[in-house]
Amino acid sequence: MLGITGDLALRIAKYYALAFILLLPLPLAGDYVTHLAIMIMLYSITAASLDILVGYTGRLSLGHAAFYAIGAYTSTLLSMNLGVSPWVGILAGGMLASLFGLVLGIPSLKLRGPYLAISTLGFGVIVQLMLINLDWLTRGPLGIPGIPPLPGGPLDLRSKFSFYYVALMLTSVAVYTLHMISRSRIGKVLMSIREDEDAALSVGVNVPLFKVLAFIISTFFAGLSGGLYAHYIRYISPAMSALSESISILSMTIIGGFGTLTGPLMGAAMLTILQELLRPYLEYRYLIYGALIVIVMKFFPSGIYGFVQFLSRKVRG
Amino acid sequence: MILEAQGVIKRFGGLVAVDDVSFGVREREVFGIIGPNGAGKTTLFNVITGFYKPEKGRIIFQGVDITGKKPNEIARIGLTRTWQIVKPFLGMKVLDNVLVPIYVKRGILRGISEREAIERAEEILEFVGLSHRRDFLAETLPQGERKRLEIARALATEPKLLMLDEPAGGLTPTEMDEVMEVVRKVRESGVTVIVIEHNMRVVTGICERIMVLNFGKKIAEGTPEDVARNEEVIKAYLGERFHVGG
Repeated sequence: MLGITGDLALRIAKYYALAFILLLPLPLAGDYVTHLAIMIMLYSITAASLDILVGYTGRLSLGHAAFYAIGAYTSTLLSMNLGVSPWVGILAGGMLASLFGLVLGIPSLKLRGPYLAISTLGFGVIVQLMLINLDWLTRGPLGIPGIPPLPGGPLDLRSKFSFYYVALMLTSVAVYTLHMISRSRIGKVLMSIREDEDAALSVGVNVPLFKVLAFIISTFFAGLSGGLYAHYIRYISPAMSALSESISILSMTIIGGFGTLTGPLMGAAMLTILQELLRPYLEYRYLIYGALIVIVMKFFPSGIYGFVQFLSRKVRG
Repeated sequence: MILEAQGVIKRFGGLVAVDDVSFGVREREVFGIIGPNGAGKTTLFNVITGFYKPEKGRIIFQGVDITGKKPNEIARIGLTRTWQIVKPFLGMKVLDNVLVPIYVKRGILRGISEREAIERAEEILEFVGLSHRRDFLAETLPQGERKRLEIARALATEPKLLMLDEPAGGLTPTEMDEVMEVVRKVRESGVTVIVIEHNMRVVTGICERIMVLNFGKKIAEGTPEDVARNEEVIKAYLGERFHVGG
């Protein structure tokens, strides 16, 4: 169904299972490494979700962090003010994020290229301003501390060790789902829009509908990862929706290799680790991201993923 | 008549690109539209297929008024066009290029099974002679094959009427023959074809009837032989100086 044969689903599932098993012993390396790995996973979901929009549908977004923030605030406020279980809160965060995705997706239907980028950028700024100014709800620039951890039954998910396994499981499921969507009939129709909107229209593709659908899918997963983040770090602030965050996420998607889905995972890992290494020179981070994007675009338009593929072909001869 | 255009007018600012054009296309014929550059042929295509809205006039397809409908809606009821400057989905495999319209037509969530969809796509590729390119990226194909892929992708929408915009433009004579062969086969399979073409060898080779446009106006209609003898047509193509009177 949906254009994914059982064969393909199984083949991809095998890779995920292998990665899952290989990553199982990682927390033995200590809390610091575990924390980094968790951050990489959360960014992986966000970067992969952005790939559906940027890489598959060809719609540039400079406001993806806003959906991440919407997911985080939704889940936080629901669990702290209404006593909703964070698990339900995270799901609600994803849903509200995709509702906003719909709200942004419809008016930006006619916009292409830089115009769309500007409108998504504006959306990110608006969300950040709202989070700052609706202080009766969001405590404004102070942010919200003391967010409840994820309830884990017998597991204490305040510990990085156990949270790691929950994150690993959820990330695998989320990214696998995105991977399947990208390989499905919907994914192919989205790609046809990326390749040529008029040609897609001329063979019967309802282009506006699928563009909005791409926004809905993409922002849903961004919202989910935002919620997970909130209950992991247990503190959120309007900075989550900052332009710099959106650019970080976009950098991961592009440097990793957009339109590949696996690429953004590599990009998330690389940039998160890079950020740690560059900690002493934090202000220069975006300078280096910028340089990296230029280099990657110039020499490897298909990103790190494309580079790895290229190397593996060389090795195999 | 499978398609009727009645008094179609399309303006761009002060320019009347299509000026009160009416014509009808019979079922199962190959109908040619010719005319010098800038005569309004492609604009007329864009109006018929919903990419432009006409200022005046109506387009009737199979008895239904489709004026002002969206291009994707028009494609879904069986009127599909190709592009003068081909627009294959370059970054996708040849097979996927053809699968997209099949999914759209036969169901994205339910409907046709994946095996059936692929079989259909393979049949269509076979039909236009592109089976050997099945798993290639469209961007790797030479121009002649891109033109045939464009036709294959249009056929995958299961059209009743196929509109080809210069299917032989920019091709070598051999490639031209291949495309003409495909057009003949399409017609034999029961699909009506409208074709814009410059190359007279192609026009006389495949068209039963022709309409000639010049400066947005229809100046002649008839069989290729009739049209070739028409004085106004000769004037339009060769200019006043070559006009042989009487």
